[in-house]
Amino acid sequence: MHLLEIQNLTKIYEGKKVLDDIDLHLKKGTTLGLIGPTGCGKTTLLRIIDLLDLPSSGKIFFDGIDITASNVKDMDIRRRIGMVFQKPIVFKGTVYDNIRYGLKVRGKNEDSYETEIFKLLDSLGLAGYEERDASTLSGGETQRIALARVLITEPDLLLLDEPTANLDPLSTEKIEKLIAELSKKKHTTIIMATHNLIQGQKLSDQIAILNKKIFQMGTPEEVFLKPAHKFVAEFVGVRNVKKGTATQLEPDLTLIKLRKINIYSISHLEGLVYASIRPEDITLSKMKVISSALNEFKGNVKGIVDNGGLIEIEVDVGEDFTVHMTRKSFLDMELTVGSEVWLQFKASAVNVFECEC
Amino acid sequence: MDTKYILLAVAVVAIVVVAGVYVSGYGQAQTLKIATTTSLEDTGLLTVLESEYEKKYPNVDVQFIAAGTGQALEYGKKGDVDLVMVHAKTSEEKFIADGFGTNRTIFAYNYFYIVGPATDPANINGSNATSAFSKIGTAGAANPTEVMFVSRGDNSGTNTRELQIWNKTDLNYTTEVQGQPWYIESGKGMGDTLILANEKSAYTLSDSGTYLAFKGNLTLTAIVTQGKDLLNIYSLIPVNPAKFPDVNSEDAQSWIAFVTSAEGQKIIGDYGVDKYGQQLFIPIAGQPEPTS
Amino acid sequence: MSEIINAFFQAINLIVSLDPEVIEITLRTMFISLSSTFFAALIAIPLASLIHFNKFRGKRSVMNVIQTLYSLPTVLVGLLVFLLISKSGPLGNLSLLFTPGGMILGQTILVIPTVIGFSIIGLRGVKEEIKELALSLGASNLQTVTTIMGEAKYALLGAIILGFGRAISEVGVALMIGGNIRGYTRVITTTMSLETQKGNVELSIALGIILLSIALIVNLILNQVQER
Repeated sequence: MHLLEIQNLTKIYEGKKVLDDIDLHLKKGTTLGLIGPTGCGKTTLLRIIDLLDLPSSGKIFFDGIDITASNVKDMDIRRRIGMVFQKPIVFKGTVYDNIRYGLKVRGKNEDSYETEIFKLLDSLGLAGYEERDASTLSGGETQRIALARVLITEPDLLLLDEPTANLDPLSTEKIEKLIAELSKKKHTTIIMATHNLIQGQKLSDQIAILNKKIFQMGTPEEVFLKPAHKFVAEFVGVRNVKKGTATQLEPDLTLIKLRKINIYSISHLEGLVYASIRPEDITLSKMKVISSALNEFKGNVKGIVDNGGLIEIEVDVGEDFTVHMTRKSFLDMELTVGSEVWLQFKASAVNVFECEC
Repeated sequence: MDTKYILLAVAVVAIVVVAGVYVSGYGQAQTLKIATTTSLEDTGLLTVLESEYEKKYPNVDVQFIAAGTGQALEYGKKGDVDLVMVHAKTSEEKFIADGFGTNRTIFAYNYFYIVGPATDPANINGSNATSAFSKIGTAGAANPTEVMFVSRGDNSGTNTRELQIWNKTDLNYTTEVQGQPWYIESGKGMGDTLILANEKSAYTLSDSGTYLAFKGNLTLTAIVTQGKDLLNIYSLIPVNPAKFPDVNSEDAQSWIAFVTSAEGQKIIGDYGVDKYGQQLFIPIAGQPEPTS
Repeated sequence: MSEIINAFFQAINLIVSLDPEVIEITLRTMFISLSSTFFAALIAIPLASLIHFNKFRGKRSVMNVIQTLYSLPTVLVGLLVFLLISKSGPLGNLSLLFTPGGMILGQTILVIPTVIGFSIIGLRGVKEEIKELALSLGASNLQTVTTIMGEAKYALLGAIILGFGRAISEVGVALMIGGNIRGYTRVITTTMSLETQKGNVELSIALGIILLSIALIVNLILNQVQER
């Protein structure tokens, strides 16, 4: 049973399509990472699900109920959905007043939730904050209060809009931990909009790459390792995207002709394709080595960028490739700009996707 | 936070209720509303009459609404008061003729005073009221910075009398008096008008009671104080219960009876002697209306 | 000048010695003005919410009318209410003329536009996001309205205080509707006007000081509440 089912949802805002033909199915207990660049429609989609905005067309079923139908009472649906806004604000009053708001409007006996509220504050690292004036809190604290305010109502569906944007690493960690726990222990269904890939990958069962429309949806591995579109590939940070023509040589071997070099892959696609190789899947060596890698080219180091962690090296082998290597290997190899190197990668490391051109 | 607000609200409501009970005196069964001219109210005479009356009739709360005679009669015409106490015979007779009041009972009189600067620039000393007004008008037209006259201009009993006197002079009120630079209309009560006349060193017509009450603050002197034209007769007129069934007719009658009784008349006759050194009102209940 | 100073000291004396007439007039003034402010708030705040939370044609014009009515002359209200509740008027049967009740009615009408106008301004001051936050947390429409009003509570309180200031300091309605009856409808402002006319400057100044003190106390309480 799908808790949420979105069919052909389109939103036109001031004459512009901000969401285009969205189809999305979400099982109970799943955490979906909604990933896309700023302005891709993440917030709009969440707002439409929370009934704060109306879709221009399309249908949304929540727990089997068509919530876009006019006979549905918005409040009844909203009371089962919790949303944490990207820039959370607080009501006037104390932290405690803020957290109990959802209980108050539902007519629940607040006293019986007291231990619950204290536990929640504790788990968010806000123990002892209950009597503080909510308006005096820092951004990170406010974000955590906003989360607590929603969680106390135990929503069936939790919508998080950039829950850790602009937060310090410590607050981010706390919130991420809580989201992970929610999913694991309470089996809360979560949709988390984020532009932070690592976070999306870490916390989600499923991720959807959104840029006005959903380009790809699947497990993080599927999406990150095998982007189905150039947009996804570029967005998820896949480097070394090359355009070429693929010809199948054997059942599990394809030759892709790039502009100046040819590479092998295990894909089955033929014709005009994009091929990409993750920078960490490429190895460099000073001399030609015997390896199982089918792809091996000789070239020169064009540039070296020290990112603090990994070292990023530009190598020209006819085509330019970006390669990531650890600081230690980099120092061992004594590479400088102009150094002659050998570059290798496996045929299975080549990700091929259709060219929409 | 919420409890604090509730406490604050309760405190405010409690103050309001206590204050309300305190000020409204809801114990009183009935009220007698009397519209009166400001000149009677300002002297303080009515307060004395009220307290003596209420000793006799403890269930009645007498309430005075002070206004000019014109306004007081208007209140009567609308049935908003039970009784009027005023001093403009012609208007009073019309009020009764139109069916708003039942009958007119005179209870006291005094004189209007023509007051003015001690230098008396229009030289009215020794004149009667009509010729004094003529002199002021002529002198004012000739020398508007030296000779001025302040009128109430508010349709009060005093104003009505002033107009009557102007009309007896050889001056045309609308063309030679009103709007002239020497003629100022204050549009205010007697006290304010006296203060204004004092500031301008102008003449004015005042009831004697108010003038005596203000005398200490004024440099103006009373110049013409006698004569038929200055006679100021105060009367009582109950509002017609046939026209306004709600009026408190019974207490209106008992008030009239009290004011015109020997006791009431003595209070009126004695009033002001200790405070102003002279009698303010001459009691005349039961006597024929004086003519000079 | 010495006259003013003299009057001022006599005024202080009247206040310090708790002159019974001064106290009585002060209490009555408080009663009448607080009551009219209370009723005005009771009517004006829901009306302000109605105007603020609903979209309708001519909303801007309504706001213009309300703002114009801030300057509603007190004597005009006095006159209209007088004609309304006079025995010969449509509400004559209520016998409200020359009673504190009539004064409360008049002052309520006088103060309503001020309270509505400033309440709307206060409600506008609440962020749009608060509304969505309340809705998102499961509030009903009514709960959302009360939440927004709660967020604007200091501004609403300010609007009420402003209304109270207008009620307690006006003289037109008090005089025309109340009739300035001693011991019944005489309030601070009407007494000041009467006593000045009678030359009792000291009493007028004493009452003036009291009026300002009431305003000061009310504002101090408001500030106290706002700081919490």
